Parts: sequence; C-alpha cells; structure tokens
Amino acid sequence: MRRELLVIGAVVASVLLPMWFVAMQGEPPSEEIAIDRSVSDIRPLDGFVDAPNKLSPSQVGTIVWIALFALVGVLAAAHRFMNYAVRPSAERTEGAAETDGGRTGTSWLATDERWVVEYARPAEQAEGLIAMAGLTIVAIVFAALFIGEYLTLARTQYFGVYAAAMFLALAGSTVAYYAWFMPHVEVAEYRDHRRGER
Amino acid sequence: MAADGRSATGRVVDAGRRAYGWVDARLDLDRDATLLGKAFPAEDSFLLGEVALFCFLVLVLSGIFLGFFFEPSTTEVEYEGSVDEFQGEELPASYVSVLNVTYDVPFGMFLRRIHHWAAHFFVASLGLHMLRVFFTGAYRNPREPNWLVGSGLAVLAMGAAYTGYALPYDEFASTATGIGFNVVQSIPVIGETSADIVFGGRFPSSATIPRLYFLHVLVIPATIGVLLAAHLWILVRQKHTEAPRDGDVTGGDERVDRDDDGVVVGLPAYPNQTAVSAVVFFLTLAALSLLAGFLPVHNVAEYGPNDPASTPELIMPDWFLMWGYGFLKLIPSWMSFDVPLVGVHVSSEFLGGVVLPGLVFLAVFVWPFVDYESEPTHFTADPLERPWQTAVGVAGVVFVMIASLAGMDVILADVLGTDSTALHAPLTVALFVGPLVAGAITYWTLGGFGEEGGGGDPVAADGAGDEEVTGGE
Repeated sequence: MRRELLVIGAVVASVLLPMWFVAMQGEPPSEEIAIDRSVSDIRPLDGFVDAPNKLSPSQVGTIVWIALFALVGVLAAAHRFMNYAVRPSAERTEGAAETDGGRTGTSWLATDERWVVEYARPAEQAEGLIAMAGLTIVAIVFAALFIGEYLTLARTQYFGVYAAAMFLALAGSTVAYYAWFMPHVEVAEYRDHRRGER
Repeated sequence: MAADGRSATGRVVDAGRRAYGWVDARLDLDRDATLLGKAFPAEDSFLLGEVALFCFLVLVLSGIFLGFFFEPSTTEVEYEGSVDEFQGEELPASYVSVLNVTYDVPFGMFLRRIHHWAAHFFVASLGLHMLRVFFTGAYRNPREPNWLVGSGLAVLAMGAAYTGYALPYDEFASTATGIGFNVVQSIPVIGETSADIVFGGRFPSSATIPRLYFLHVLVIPATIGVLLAAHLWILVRQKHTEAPRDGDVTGGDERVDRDDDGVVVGLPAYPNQTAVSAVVFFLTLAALSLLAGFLPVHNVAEYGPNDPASTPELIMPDWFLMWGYGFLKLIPSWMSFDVPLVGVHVSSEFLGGVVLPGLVFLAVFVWPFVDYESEPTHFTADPLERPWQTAVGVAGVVFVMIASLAGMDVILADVLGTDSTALHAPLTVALFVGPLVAGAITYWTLGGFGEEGGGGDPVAADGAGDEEVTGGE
C-alpha cells in the first residue's frame, strides 16, 4: 500500500474511530419487552444469541457503516473472484479469435457500435456442477426452514439466519455458475456522442 | 421425450420464443435488445450504486408489506396485543399498528427491521457511492448532470428516512421529529407556512402523521423512482467511466489504444454483468437479513408511545442527520438577530438547521463546476494524484464527522465525564480547525506544496506498463 494512502487513512481514522467510539455508547442495556404468550402463538423475540433490545440512532449509524464496509469487502472479493480467478485458461481461449466479428451467437453483443474483445468458452467442469448442486440444495433447505419458521414460532433471529444462509447460498451458486458455466466475455463500445470527434 | 419427438426443454424454449415474438410484435423489443450488451467495466467500487439500488427495491417491497398493517392516525385506541405493559391502555392508533405488526404478525418484526436497516443502508451506500465518485473525479464533464441527480437522490433518501422516522409515533421519534419541525418553522417569512404544509400544523397535530405518511410512501419514493430512472438513463447514455487501462486492447475487430477513452471496455450487461448484479443483490439481502435477525432498530416498544408531558433522556436524530444536529448544538443563541427595516427575525435554529446544512449541500451540488474540466473525461482519476481535490474531500469528511460528534455532545460529555455545554467551545474550534488540518496534511502528503512523494509518476502509480491486453490471454 502506498505511503500516501496510509497517511490519509490515518488522518481520517483519527476522527472516525473516536466518533464511532462515542456513538457506540448511545443506549445502555435494557430489559427485554415482556410478551403475554396467551395472546399470540408466535415468539418473535426468542433466539439463540443474546442481542441488544434497543439501539440509539448513533449506534445504528456505526453498525450500518461497519456492516456496509464488510459487505463491500465481501462484494469486492466475490467480484474479483468472478473476474479474475475464473478467467479462462490459455487452453480455453484458443478459440477466442473464431468468436470475434459477431460469431458468438448472441446478437446483442456485437453491433455497429460494439464488438467482442475477449471471449472464452466456459470450463463446464464437474466440480462446478457439484458446487452449484450443493449450494442449490442448501438454498432450498434454508428456504424450507424459513417457511417452517413462518408457519410456527416466527422467531426473528431464526428468520435472519435462514434468510442470510439462503441468500448466501444463492450468491455462491451464482458465482459458481459464472465461474464454470458462463462464457467469459468482454466487449468494447464507442461512446456515441464522441464518435464524431474521432 | 414427448410424442411429437421433442424434449420438454425444447418445448419450453419454443413456448418462450413464441411469447417473446408475441410481445416483440407489439412493443418492438428487438430495437432495444442491443442494450443488453452494454459494457460494464469490472471495477469493485462501481457496485456501490447497485447496493443502493437494491436497498431501494427492498425498501419498496418491505414498505408495501408494512403498509398493509400501518394505520396513519393518532386517534386513541385500546391496545389488545401481546406486549404486556401496554395491554388495556389507550394508545395512538399508529403506535398500536406498529406494535401489532412487530409482535403479533408472523415475519412482521423481521420485515420491519429489514425495512429500517435497508433505509440506513440506502443512505450509507449512497454516501459511499458519492464519495467514490468524488474521489475518482467521476463527476467531471460530461457527468455533471448525473452528479446533480445523484445528489438530489441523497437529499431525498434523507427526507424519506426522516418522514418515516416519526410514523410509529413513539416517544423518541416524535421528540426527535419535533426538532425538525422547529427548524422548518424557523425559516424567515415562509417558515410557518412550510411547517404547516409538511407537518399539518403545530407539531404534533392530528394531521402530522397522515401528512408525513403521504410524503413517506408516495411523494418521496415516487420522486426517488423518477430520479433513479433519470440517473440510470444518463448512465446508459453516457456509458460508464473506466479505470485507466493496463495496456492496449487488441482482441476483436479493432484495436483500442490504452489512452483512448472514446471507447469503453467491460463485461456485457447480459449475461456477465447481470450475474454480478445478482451476486450483489443476494449478498446485500444476506447482510440485511443478518442485521434484521439480530439487531433491533428503532424498537418502539422500548421507547413507549409519544408523551407530550415528558422528554426522553437521550434525544438525537438518525445518524445521517447528526451533523446537522451538531450545527444546531454549536450555533449559540446570541447569534440570532433581527434584520433591520424588514423586521425579519433570523434565529440560531435557522442558521444551524437550515443555513449551514444548506451551504454544505450547495457545496456538494456545485462541486463539478468548481473542479471543472472543459474536455470530456471518461477515465477515473487516481485520488492520490489529485492533491487539492482529495484534500477538499478529506476535509469535508472530517468536517461532517466532527459536526456529528457535536450532535452527540451529551454522549461525548458522559464519556469525558464533563458537562455538554463545556464541550461546545472546543467542538466549535475543532469544527473549523480539524478539517483545515486534515486537508493540509492530505495536500502536503500528496505533494501539493511541491514536496516530493506525492502523486508520483502516473504511469508507475497505476502499475501500468506497455504490455497489451489481448483477447483471451
């Protein structure tokens, strides 16, 4: 990492971290809301982890930013994996030239303004199929658990875990499909309003 | 295999083609089909806008669910739900409806939390997206219009969150919303009328909740939808910015020079970028689900219903308005004055709640015309090679953070074991000195004062060589 970036990061952190520290002091712990179980069959407050019962807006702010930075990190990792780690091997790109000039079979890729600059067939390896199948099963299982929770106790923490697991499995399945079963395509296109100046 | 010799998959494909043909004959879909190949440069940070977009989608969908249960009224009704402490009490109908959806509707608490977290994520991801655009100079010619639209979206996102904040009519939110009422009312000449329009009379009146509800579920979301469409239309028309290339792009029919920004290179919208967007969508939902599952946000039962006779111990607005609240805290009352001759009173609330935040937003809106490029620029800039622009950005971020600290002066005083009023003077000094110091250090670090070691050689800095980027290699 470049020295300049470290210095600027330190400057921002010197204000950001104290602000977050102060913001996190917002609300002291409080008692959980008492529920009259004779009124309703559902148990939205039941769970397996002790969680705060109340958060101040300042605490919410800090949590949101930390969660957003974490999400951006995961997104960047997934995106890089999709764009670089699964980039086609030399063996699979031998046929790249033959796909140029609109011979990809996909009419929208190549137009008067756009052309394919990189095309590689998908690897279509067995491990991709296994990964996708496994993740699809995981997604279905957690979707079923989610529905089961909805029909029974409707516990919020369990909803969170089941939904998150389902969406993570769907994300993983999409990544696996991209990595093994989607052709690697890059296109170049003119910026229309600039063409006259070229 | 079916009797006609075709597989089930083949028949499904045929049916799909026939359906497409039917629609295409009527709407001429093929004419716009080439949009599916639009190039998306594969940049990690470009996905932030998609996070914001998907948060908005989640907000709309979860909001529709909540709308089926919410009653925008302050009429007193008897609570008969499962929350022990309120049973048999006369409570505002809006508060009761939120208690019901939270504690007595399966999935209600989860979706209400998702709605809240998505709102906070929406504002935060918009902010981070804007910071990315700012620091990489992606607002420059010809993208000034989209910066203006995006800035408008940020303002509306805050407005959407603010108008939704008071709807449950709980003690904390109604008190915090009252601060907004006082600020609007403080605007000289038009304050009373503006407050009447937005809040339906003196806050809280019986018209306040229906008025804020109308703004929250229709006016503001519809405007956000229109601006989002405009934002995306401009993006499609102008095409994405692109990071400087590592080398010439030689695959395909035509060579693209490394420095040629008249051509954009990237993944086609369909299928590749669509798959990336799907991953962004799923991961955003996963993050929101985890937050909603484990962390409450705006727990109305803990705060209790609005009580005009009391004031909560800790009052503050949502975090993204905290900096504006900080201005309110720091502007002393002696700064109020009367304009001679016209008899207009300019209050400290107006200065801190309208003028200063207005100047901040004005600075944001006009920035592309301050850092103006006369020629169209399509490559993103390296922030480390733009000393004064990056210094201004860092100073702005520090300014907002110190103002936010001032908004939390009560908590800060607790942490430091002092009185909050004793903090106002040092915080006021810090509000102006902190950004200047941070900006100066940034400017100096990046070689803005002529020191060596700043941006450095742009070629070396982006790690580019003279190698070519060839198709498939």
